[in-house]
Amino acid sequence: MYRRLLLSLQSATLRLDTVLNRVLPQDFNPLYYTGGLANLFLTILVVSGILIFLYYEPSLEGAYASVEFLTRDVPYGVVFRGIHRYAADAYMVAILLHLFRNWFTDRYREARDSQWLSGMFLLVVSGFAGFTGYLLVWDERAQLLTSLTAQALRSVPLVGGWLARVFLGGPGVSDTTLSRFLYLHVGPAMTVYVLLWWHYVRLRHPKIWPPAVWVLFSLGLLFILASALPAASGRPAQPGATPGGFAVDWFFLWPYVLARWLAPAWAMVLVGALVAYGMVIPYTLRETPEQRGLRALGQAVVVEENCTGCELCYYDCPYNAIYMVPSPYPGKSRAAANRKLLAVVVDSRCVECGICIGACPFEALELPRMLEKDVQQRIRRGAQVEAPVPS
Amino acid sequence: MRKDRSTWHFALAGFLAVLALAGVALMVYGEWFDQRLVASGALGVILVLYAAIVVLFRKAGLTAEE
Repeated sequence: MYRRLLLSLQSATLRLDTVLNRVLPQDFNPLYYTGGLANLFLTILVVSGILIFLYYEPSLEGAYASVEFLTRDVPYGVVFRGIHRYAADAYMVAILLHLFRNWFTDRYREARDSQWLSGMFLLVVSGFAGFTGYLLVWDERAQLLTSLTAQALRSVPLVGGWLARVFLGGPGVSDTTLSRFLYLHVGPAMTVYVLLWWHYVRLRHPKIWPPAVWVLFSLGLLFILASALPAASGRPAQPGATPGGFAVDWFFLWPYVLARWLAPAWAMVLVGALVAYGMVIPYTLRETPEQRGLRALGQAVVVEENCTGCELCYYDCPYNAIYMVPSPYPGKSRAAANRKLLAVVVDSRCVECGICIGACPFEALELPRMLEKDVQQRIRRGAQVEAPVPS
Repeated sequence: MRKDRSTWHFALAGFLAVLALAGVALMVYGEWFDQRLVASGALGVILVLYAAIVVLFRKAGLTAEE
């Protein structure tokens, strides 16, 4: 059932690709750049965030007033605030599109589990940074969110009180709380860059930036949104008051919608379970290579006497599993006699795909359980089956 | 047939370029008369129009794949 659902989602995703490729030139298809678009919005968030940070005052008295000053009195301040606000939503949309696309097109298993896991951490950390962004405004919504979060944290057994203190920066809401919120907003945003390094470290040619067309379009759209629907605060937070409700941003505040029906502790458990499920997705329904009709071919091996150090395999390996090192001795073949570099396979990264063997014109790489003679034999066997019967 | 479509793409790109010029005028108006939301909205429209023009140029065969 689950497998059939994934298959139909895969087919729908690929059909969507085809439709977009008919409307747009293929290299402008935004679905091929969902990760790059997320990076673009992240950059916009950082730049606009730095500008907003220059005016922000993290205190109970000053937070709301400083945001209002930025919005009303600083030239184009309202636009920068709006761009920061809408870029955050666009960033989440791009991340979710990236996640679902890779999930539905089966690009998260085996050697790609590292990208999947780092991506899940990126989602969680980015979601948290977005949530704390709402608290910094310190309006009625921020006050209610703070109270609900502290209540939920206190309900955690054993460490609940400590967690609530860490969140609030003390036993209750004070000036320190806003400084703490600022750290909880900026800190995770900086962590995102560390996680991005993890996300890319095993990829050879990641598309980390969208084409110029999409940079122009995204920036334009953000300016239009920030001008047509300017970001605004609610009423200022009142000490001791308990606001009734708030407008929900579905990208960042959806867990709080659950709090309408569930106790805060159960809402936290549900969110935790969702995240945990996301983390184990690459390890569910895992098929053995035999089940998928593949052989275990063994990690690629460099035939040292033939390697010329040309680097073709190094550039072609999509998994970053081949490194070039200074050659300790010359190769034996005529082509390899004067080599300067030697290819080395990092076993833990090799997925036995055989791309390096296709890339090497010097027969300097082999899959140990599928030698060249096996390939020749397969081709011959296939040719016999496929060859048309002469009439 | 291809030539006809290219002509249509160029015509549309030209029309969008004229609209973008109007956007520039709107931007200047917004800045001049302290209507900053108008100015920034016009800037957004110009950027979106430029993106559309780039796509149309590619579809018309004027620019090649990057």
